[in-house]
Amino acid sequence: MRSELGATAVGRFLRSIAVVFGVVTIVFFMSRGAGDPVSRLAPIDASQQEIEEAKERYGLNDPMIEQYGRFLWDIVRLEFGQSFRATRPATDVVGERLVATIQLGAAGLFVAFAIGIPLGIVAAVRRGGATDIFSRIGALFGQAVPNFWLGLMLILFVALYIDFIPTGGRTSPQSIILPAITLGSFPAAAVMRFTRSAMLDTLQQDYIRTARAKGLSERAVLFKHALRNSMLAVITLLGLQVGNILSGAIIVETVFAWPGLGQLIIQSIVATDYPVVQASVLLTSVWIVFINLVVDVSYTFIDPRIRTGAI
Amino acid sequence: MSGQASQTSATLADAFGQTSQRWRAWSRRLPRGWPLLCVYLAVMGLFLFAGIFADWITPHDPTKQSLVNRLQDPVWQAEGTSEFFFGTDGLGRDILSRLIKGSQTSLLVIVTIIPGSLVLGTAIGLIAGWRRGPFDSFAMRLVEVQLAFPAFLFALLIAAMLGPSLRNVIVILILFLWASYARLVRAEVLSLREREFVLAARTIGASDIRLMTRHLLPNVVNSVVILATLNVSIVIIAEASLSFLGAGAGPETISWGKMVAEGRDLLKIRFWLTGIPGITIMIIALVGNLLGDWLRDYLDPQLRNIQ
Repeated sequence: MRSELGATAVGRFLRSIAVVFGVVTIVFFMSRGAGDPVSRLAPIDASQQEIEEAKERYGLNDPMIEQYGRFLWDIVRLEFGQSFRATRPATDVVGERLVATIQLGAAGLFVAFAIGIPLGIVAAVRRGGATDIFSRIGALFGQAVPNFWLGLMLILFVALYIDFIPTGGRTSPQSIILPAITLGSFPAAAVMRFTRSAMLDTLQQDYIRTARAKGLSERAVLFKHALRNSMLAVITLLGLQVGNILSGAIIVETVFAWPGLGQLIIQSIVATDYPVVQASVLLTSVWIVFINLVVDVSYTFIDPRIRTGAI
Repeated sequence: MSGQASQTSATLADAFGQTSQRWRAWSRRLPRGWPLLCVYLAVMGLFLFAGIFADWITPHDPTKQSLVNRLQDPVWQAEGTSEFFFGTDGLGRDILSRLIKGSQTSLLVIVTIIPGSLVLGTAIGLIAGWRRGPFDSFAMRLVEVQLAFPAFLFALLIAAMLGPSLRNVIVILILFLWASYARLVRAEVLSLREREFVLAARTIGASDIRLMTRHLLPNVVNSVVILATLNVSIVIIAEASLSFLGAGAGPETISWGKMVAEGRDLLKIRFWLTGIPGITIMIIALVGNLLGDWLRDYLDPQLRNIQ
């Protein structure tokens, strides 16, 4: 049993490595295939000779396969070159911002699950009731509102009227409230819909009828039997949402001037600080893959059927 | 007199009864929920019309700047005139015209990305599900890579290197969205391949190509169309978000996302500059999702698991 679990975990880990390798390869070939960065980054008055020299210096004239090998080796050593703007290693610049983004992402996920799960449960238990109807309408809107716009509207209609809540920045504990709500709104809709359908599925199972038949209270049936089993499905959703949360965070950070990775990426794009953008993108993808791995493995812990390959 | 009147009213009632009966018989043949469907189709029709004929129907030149006309109020404000229905922005450009021209950008993104990812994903899913073997395992590994692929970040990376361009957004989103079609089609083909009609077609010697295109494809079209409709909102919001961040539409292109960004500085005093394009994005995304939900209920109620 234990070794089986270990084997699954190792298998998933190897697969994650393959996925990271795939992402890195796509990033390399698409970014090289899309054009040469030197011509774009060079100052307007750079001569043809200077451009050629820069290409030589960054190794852009070497054979593609050699460049690819060097690129892989640099990534293994976490070496992304110097930031053009800060003249420090790009990895350092990215690392400083990571904490703020993780904070915001966690808060956003918390909002999504704190809103989505209870609403989904109530909607499923009282199917067709007022909560069901309103939360489904809410979910429809939640999935249609672009979050950059929702953020601006929250600034306009909430932050400008309530002194307690700032319009942006990361200066006081309450400054995370609006960014977290903005970030959590889209996944909250997904979590709600998902919890609702998982709960509805579970409530139709035979063991629920058995639990009711043996005279358990409705509360015990709902919380001990139905909820536990539908939460399995919701955990998978958590893994899928991490990627969405990160791309959402980039947008939300620009709206609320939250000093995280997203804001850094945008500033670096404006300043054409290419090493920093590349480092952030690659580190973030590794992070997404890692979270997915953790969710996968913990899922195996919770549901023994996956361990034995029954599903 | 009174007899005549009652006769007339009887004829009227009769005529009304007949029409209403005919109407009822006719309306029974309409799909369920048709009044709402008409609303959705009207909104989408308006969007299509604005997008296709944008160059002819804009009341003003959407890019023309004018100092005299800058920051005109929209028609519902006291100072507003119907000449600039939604008012003008800080550079004196007509908001309504920019909104119409912007729908062209959204439409362009939809009509390229959705068919592109649909064809690519369906073809891969069909072949993977039908032929199985190494191609299948390879395709499914690719789908896994795609799931972890931060398309949004990657679009930013490309924009950082090459400058914002709609073409790059289109390519990246196709590479991002194909996988959901591939997974869906593969799963359906895996169950279809065991059915009798497939066996029958094979017995009379149908080739692989013929089997896939004439027998399997028609059976997956429904779910693919539903997924494509539901993807409209994803594509619209993705393009708007990238354009908002300055990594989507290029400098010459008008986009709803960019309009929201442009109105940001005047948010406090003129919220409609950000409000109007934002609401437009929301309405199109919402109607896209509602249409997809409706289509799913109509075509196959069992397909509840698509998104």
